Amino acid sequence: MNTSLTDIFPAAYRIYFKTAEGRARQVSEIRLRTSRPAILMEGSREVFLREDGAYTEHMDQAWRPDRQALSEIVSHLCQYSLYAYEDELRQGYITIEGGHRVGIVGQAVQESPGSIRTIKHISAINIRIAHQILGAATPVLPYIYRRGSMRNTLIVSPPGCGKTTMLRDLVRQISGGSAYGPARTVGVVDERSEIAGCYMGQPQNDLGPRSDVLDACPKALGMMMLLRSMSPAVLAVDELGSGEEIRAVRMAASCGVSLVATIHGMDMQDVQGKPGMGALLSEGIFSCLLVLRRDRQGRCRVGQVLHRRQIDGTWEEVAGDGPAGGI
Amino acid sequence: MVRLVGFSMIGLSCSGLGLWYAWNLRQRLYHLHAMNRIIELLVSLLQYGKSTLPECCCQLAGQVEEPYRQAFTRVYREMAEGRGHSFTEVYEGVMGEALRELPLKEQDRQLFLQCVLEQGSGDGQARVRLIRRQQELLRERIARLEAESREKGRMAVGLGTLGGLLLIIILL
Repeated sequence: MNTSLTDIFPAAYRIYFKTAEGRARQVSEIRLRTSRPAILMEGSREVFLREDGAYTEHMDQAWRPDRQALSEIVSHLCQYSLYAYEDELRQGYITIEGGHRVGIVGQAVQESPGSIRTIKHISAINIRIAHQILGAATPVLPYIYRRGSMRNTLIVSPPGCGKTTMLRDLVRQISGGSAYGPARTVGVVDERSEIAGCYMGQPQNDLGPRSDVLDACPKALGMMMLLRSMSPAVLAVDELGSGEEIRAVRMAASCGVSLVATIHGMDMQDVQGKPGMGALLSEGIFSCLLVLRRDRQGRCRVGQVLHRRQIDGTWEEVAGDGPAGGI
Repeated sequence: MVRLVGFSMIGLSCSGLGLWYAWNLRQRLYHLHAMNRIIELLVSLLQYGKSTLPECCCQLAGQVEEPYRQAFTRVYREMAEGRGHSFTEVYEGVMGEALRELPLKEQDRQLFLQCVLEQGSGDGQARVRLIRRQQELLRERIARLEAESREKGRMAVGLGTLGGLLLIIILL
């Protein structure tokens, strides 16, 4: 990633993030709300930002961005082109250079009942800092390969636990090849520009030498497009959820393509309860589940690795807390 | 002999002044047409490519002539450097400087700068409508100038020549 943390903000506001800049690797979230204290998260630790850029534990010393500050920051985040992000704004977030995701709330303008046209009077933003951790997937590689061939893998994790980080590094290692399996062509459907962090179509994260990224494309459509156009050996998608996406996954699997995907969830039972996912798991489309969770210290780790037994279709735990390593 | 040289110089400079005025009028018209083409390209980039303004500058730089090419390239580069300046600041500074070198009136420069800087809302269509409105004003100005320029140009050349002759007669 080429951008530094302060580059995200306009020149006038960079002073507030002076300390955070030096600790960019630890920063996971920056929350700015109109007239309320600016909060920064380092993992599960919460601190307030002072006007001189230092951290403080005291809320009364915190910098409180006003409406003007928030509006200028949002303009800068959108490269002074809010219109270019209107589709993303409808979903409540934008992805900026470097792959960071910015959640935005304010007053929703409805187009018709049930559909949002845009968000105006922005009152709070949450900047989730993307981190590429090279080697994050190394501990799980032995579990996703079986005699050199890849198991279709589903990464299960609650929000903010590193599933995109894990997926990104898996893509890089599959594409580059490892001791466990040969290098393979990976097609990445990056609907929210979080995996590759594309800026003007160019991936800013290292996804290995054999990755083709379809940026900002709906996942279901993108999977089909990649299958037809780039003939990947592996397809990677982030945050499966809708029925269409599940249908596309099923179709991709039937084409003989290996899959690596992520989904929100606490554990396997949670995922099985999601519409369409139970069937996908019972059909054996995925044969390896990586469950990520936070440990007591608040660090994200691979909590569980499950393999589907081909004989009876049951799931067995092949690695529990610890041995599979952490991220 | 010296007188003859002097008279010819007076005649030539007065006609030259008229020709220079006419050339300026043609150049102004030429640049207004160039601006209109740039706005047309900009609208298509916004409408179909959903490009951000710095991206638009980068793409426009590859499709337009000098001095716009260089100005758009500079805007794009300065924005890409990520020094945290707003697009308005950078664009007004760079493009304003480039436009000052051209035979344009202040209102032409403002009109062109406004087309790109027109903020609008987060709605792409609304933004395009605002730019189109500015483009309409530009087109009206072009039409008016086209109607006037030939006549005005001829008049300037004629007046220059006649002025020169008059001066020569007075000096004789």
